[in-house]
Amino acid sequence: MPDIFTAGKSSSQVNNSSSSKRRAVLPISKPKQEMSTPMSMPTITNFQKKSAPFSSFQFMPEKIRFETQEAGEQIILLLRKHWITTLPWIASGLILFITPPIIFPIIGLSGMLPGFIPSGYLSFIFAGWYLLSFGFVLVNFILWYFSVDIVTEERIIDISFSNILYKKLSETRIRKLEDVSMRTGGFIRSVLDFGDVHLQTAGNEENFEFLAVPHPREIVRIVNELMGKEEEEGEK
Amino acid sequence: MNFEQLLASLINFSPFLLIKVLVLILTFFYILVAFVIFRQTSLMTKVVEAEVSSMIELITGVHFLSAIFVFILGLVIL
Repeated sequence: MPDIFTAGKSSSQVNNSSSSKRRAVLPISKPKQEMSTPMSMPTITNFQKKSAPFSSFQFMPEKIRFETQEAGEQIILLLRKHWITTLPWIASGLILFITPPIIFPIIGLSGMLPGFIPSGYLSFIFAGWYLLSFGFVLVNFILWYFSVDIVTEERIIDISFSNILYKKLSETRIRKLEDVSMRTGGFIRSVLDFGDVHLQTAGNEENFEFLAVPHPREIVRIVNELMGKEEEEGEK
Repeated sequence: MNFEQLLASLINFSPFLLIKVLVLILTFFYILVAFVIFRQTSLMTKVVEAEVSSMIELITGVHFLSAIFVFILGLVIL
């Protein structure tokens, strides 16, 4: 199994070392002085640091914190549902936004609009339509953006908002994980490389599922690596 | 005067007045919804803090103000 966390190496160097003996070097285990230098920033075999603000797959994102983050705890992965899953509400929003400029002239030209309707009503309908459309897109975006799965060096955190009023936060320690598996299938999921990651925990603890997340194989690999590190630390 | 008589007199007076009242009630409720979205987003940004959180909060604030604007627009032009 290749190293996923290797400090101070370029991607090619990391790839070259993949056949060497397994070694997990996590940033938390490094001295603080070393962490502050660019050369010591960790890289991953296939993924360099990824932290675009609206990305669905962020590896070691910077300037992101979460509510229950402990001091010194570093986020390894921040995951959202793949962008393709947002397509239904984005398409609906687009249709809602382009409908009035198309429909209103047609109604006006065809004379379908009853003459007794005051003109002020049309302006209000126009404004109300766009307000509701904007609200629809905004709520869907907020629910997508803030529903995240976070993997840190120590924990797995699942923050989900099923609607604007309901929040669910679940977390478990990496050492409590027993098995991690992925499931993907179908044309779109295969082509766009996204799927579900299932994390089984020990005993009566709640199991975790990262649904429709990008690069599920990489996620499984990273979580496995973290589990290995936890086991190594436990043995010491 | 009972409720039915009141309703009948309102309709006789102007059907648009009844529509205006209903629309304004609905718009008022939407202001409440927009406020809830704004408040919840403020709480969500504390759950996951990122650079763009303040921008998202600002957008929900603009949405809330837009709802108030549409309500006032309804009061004035309907």
